[in-house]
Amino acid sequence: MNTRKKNIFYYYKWILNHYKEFKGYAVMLFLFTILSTAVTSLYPLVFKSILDRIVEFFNNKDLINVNSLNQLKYNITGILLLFALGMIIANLYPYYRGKLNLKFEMLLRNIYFKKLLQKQHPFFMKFRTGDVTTRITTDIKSHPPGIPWFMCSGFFRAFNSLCIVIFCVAIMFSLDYKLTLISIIPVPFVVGVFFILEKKIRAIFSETRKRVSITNDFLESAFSGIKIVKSFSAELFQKEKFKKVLEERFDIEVEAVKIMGLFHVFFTVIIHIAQVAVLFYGGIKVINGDITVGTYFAFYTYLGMIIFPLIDIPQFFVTGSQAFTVIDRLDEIDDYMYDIEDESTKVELEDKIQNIVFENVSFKFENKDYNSKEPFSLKNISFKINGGEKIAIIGRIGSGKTTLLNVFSGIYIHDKGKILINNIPVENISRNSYLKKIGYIQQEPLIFSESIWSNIDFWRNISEEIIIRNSKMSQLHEEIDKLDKKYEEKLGQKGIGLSGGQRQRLSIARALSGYPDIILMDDITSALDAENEKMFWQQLEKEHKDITCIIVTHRMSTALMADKIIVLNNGKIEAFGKHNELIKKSPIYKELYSEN
Amino acid sequence: MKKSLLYRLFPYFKEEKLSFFYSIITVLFVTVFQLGRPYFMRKIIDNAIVGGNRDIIFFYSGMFLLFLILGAITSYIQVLITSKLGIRVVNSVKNRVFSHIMTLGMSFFDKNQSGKLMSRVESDVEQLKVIFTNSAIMLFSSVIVLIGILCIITYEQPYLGAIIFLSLPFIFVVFYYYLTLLRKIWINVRKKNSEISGYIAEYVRGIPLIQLFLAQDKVYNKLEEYSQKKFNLENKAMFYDNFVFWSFFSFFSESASMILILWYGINGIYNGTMTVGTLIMFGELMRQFFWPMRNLMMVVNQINVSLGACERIFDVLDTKTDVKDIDFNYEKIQLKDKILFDNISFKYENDYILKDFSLEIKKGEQIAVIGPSGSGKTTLINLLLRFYDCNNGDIYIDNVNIKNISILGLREKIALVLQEVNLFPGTIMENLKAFNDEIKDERVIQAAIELGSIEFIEKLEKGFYTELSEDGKNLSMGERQLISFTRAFVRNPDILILDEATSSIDTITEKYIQQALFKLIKDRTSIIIAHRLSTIENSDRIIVMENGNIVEAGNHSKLIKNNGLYSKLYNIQKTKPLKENN
Repeated sequence: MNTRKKNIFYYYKWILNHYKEFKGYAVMLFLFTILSTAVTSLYPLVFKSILDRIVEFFNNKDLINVNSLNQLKYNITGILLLFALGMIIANLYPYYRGKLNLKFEMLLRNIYFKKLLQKQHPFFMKFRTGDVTTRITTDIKSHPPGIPWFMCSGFFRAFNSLCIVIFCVAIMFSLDYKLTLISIIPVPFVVGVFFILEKKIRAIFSETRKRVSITNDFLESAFSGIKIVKSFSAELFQKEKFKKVLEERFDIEVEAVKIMGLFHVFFTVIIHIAQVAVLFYGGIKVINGDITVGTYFAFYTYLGMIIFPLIDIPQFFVTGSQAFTVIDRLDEIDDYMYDIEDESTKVELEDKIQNIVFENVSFKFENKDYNSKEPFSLKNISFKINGGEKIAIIGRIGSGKTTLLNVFSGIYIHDKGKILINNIPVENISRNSYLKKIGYIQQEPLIFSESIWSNIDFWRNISEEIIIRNSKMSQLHEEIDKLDKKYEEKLGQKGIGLSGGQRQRLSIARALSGYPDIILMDDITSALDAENEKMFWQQLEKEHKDITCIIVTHRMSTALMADKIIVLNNGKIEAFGKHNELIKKSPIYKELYSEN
Repeated sequence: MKKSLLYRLFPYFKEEKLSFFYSIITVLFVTVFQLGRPYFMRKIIDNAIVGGNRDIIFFYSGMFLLFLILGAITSYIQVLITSKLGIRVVNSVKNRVFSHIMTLGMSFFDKNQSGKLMSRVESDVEQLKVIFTNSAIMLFSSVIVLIGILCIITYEQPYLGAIIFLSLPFIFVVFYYYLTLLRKIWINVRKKNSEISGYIAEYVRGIPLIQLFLAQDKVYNKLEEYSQKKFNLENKAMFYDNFVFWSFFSFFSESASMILILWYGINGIYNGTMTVGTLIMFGELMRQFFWPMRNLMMVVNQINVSLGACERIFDVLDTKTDVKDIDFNYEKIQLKDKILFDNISFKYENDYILKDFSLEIKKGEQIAVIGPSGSGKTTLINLLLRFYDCNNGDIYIDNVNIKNISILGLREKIALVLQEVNLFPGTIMENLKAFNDEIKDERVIQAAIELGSIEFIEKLEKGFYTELSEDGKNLSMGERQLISFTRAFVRNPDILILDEATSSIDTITEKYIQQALFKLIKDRTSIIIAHRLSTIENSDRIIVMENGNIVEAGNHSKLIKNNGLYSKLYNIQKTKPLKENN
């Protein structure tokens, strides 16, 4: 999937792209950098000049009196206060850097969440929830080596350090150029070593991030499936497995530390060797009278001042490597091109749905590599449904019932064949207009940790009257009324607080509240027992006249009530028709019917 | 409070005593080598250059180089030891937190989302790494350097040293106040952080559904809100940090103190009590003092932030389970006679689900429990498995109160099959064993044959050793049910509990399972909660529940004759539908 050419410039471009929104801010930080450099670099000179004044003052014994003494004190205080002002402003620099870090963090997280919201089903088959969540939460943090940190602080600190180094080296040059040259010799060495190590560093960090994802996946399953874990007394085994997961991370994490440590140490040694050389060579020069002690001392001070900034610069590249792996992981989200297509060329589905036609529709799962014998889950499905009809779908396990519903709902996109809605090919219909007309009640309904009302309404701002009406019809209302907070009762994750049946009924209320043209139901036997189901169909007729129903069911009473029945077997339609026809034609149907 | 948290972390270091010791030794060496260098520098400048002695330059340059290389080696060793130590301690804490969470009762999981728990175990503990690695070292060496410099200052200028010592308490008080203030804010920041992670984790799961409802924008807006709140909090923290505290500190340490010293010094020179040279040295020493002081404060600040994470970790570790286990009474229980629910009452939050409920189940009986939702069927099972404890009344197995049996012993003999199938990362084989390695492969294969799940498992390329994708998404709903079922069979329980599991399986395969079930139910007590009356028909006894009580009980034919709730439900199932389609 990845067709990009990635070198260092690619990543810098990626970063610069996000700076477009923050141009003014960047300029401000740039100015701050200059100020900070000036303040840091000039401090020794300021201090030195003050001392010089004092020495000079006390050397002119004749001019010493109380007045001139006070004058001296005020002058010095003035200079220092002015400088202090500069320093205080320079101290604001980290604050503004940090603020931009935060802004980048917020920006990236929001952008990528938005992108995820547009992804289609195959994307979520490939990327696990825990993994995806890690990519847009843990990976995006405003502390090193997170990408937002790198984009601002990482860069500006390095830039600041670079400025200081350049500034100080310039001063050093003016003091003695030969000494300066000696102290710069190590730099090309360091740069060379770094570029050799860079790829390895990047590989190690990428692996580290992967391991974190694996850990999160494990934890997610362990916690969501806690009931099974407990009932099977598998707590101990889970603990053992977790230990192993962490142990497998250990080695790679140590590798990461090793390589960083090695680089750091190597660098420090080289720089300090330069210091020794200067010490040595410079000392000799002083003794020979080539330079003054004052110059030597100043030179030495400046050399000391550039050490930390010099370390910052390669650190920037190392952190960069780590940050680039995060960019890679975010790119993977972009590259897996399963986004909802552009709607502007599509037709709006305005009329009620009159008919749906499937013509030789086939579907297979992406990445279905575990069963190469039979890749297609649905094969050559053909039928026609008219608006207002009740269609039952029955079949054995794995025959493709849920898959068929998913294709109906647009969650899955068919691979072969045609689907026509109101005689318009589904590819030409605006997805949104289609989705508005369908309601889907899944086998395992997705409920969020919100209030019951929010779960039913699902951000559609449906009127209270409508929701309560449909809630009553789904036989949910009475039970909710018994709760303390009624509809405002907040549910736990995955709808904890409601029984399985209640959750499905909520899902029914949710779907029906939108007054769809078609309702898709994937086995509601756990929601409603036979008696309640009968009542439900009666009320549905009254309340949602002419609604088309497509129901996956195992209850023969439901199938009998349907206008037509689809019998699925191994992804194919074995029979399609009314009850009486199927009794004669379909062996599978006969078997199912006689059971009841 | 800070103290007690660090105190609680200490035991984790105790486990790594040796490494910790080596770590400290190496840090000492590193510090010595680090401090040695400026010392040699001074020697060269003071003695050699001024004195014009080449040999001394050679000697001290050589010493400098030696210390440099030794320092580099020990530094590398120190980094290795300390990071390994840090990772091991962090892993130790992670294991501890995870283990502890695993022991907590179901009510804990009802209240805490899995996303929140994930961040406790993984990202909150990772924060601690900062304390254990770089920060600890910097802290240590900064303290040493600081003490060293204070000694030097006091030795050379006792008066100045005294002033510094006297001002230290003041500095610490201000600093402590600042730390406390900031810690509160950082704790809130982390809270917001896990709120966001939790929100994202939850909603990412439901994206296809969100798309169905065209709710993408609304879901996104909510995240924007959360993000903004976090931003505001962190911004505030940084504001206090940089704008307020460090600016003030900077001013005080670099400018104010310098001004004071210069005034003092100038007056002193004027009065003849001080020389220029001394003044210069004063100034130099002050700078040398404030630099490590600043480092020390920054490190303590970092640690402070990490301690915010620490509190949340200990919050979890301090939570006790509400279901008390008797450890020492572990004996393999065997159901010999009966299970008795004796006048039990239970409520989750406010309303009683079960009130004065009693039921006796004899060994070998197949009991079907039916009734509308909320009638208490699932609760019954939760209590039998001791996911929760009854508020009133007791449950007995063979006249032994289950509260007096160890939980492990109790659950070993019960197998649970739920409607919502939970599968875990791993192979099918591992899942079927529920990760119990002591179970042999043959037993698993035999169970799969008896149940019929072997059919679809063998169709898969890797068969039993197929890795399940998250939550078993690469299998169909029915196939996952079969695995869940087989898992229960492998366990070979005395008591089998099926919670609404049979309603998702088609009639044909259901019959297949019924036959296998019948084979295995021999000598096995089972409790089935279902809506499918065809399953229930064959039970020994049917319990009809409503509103937390038994309204009818008996076998199928008896209940039909009763003409009560059961016969009503049954008749609806069997009756011809409304619309006769001919």
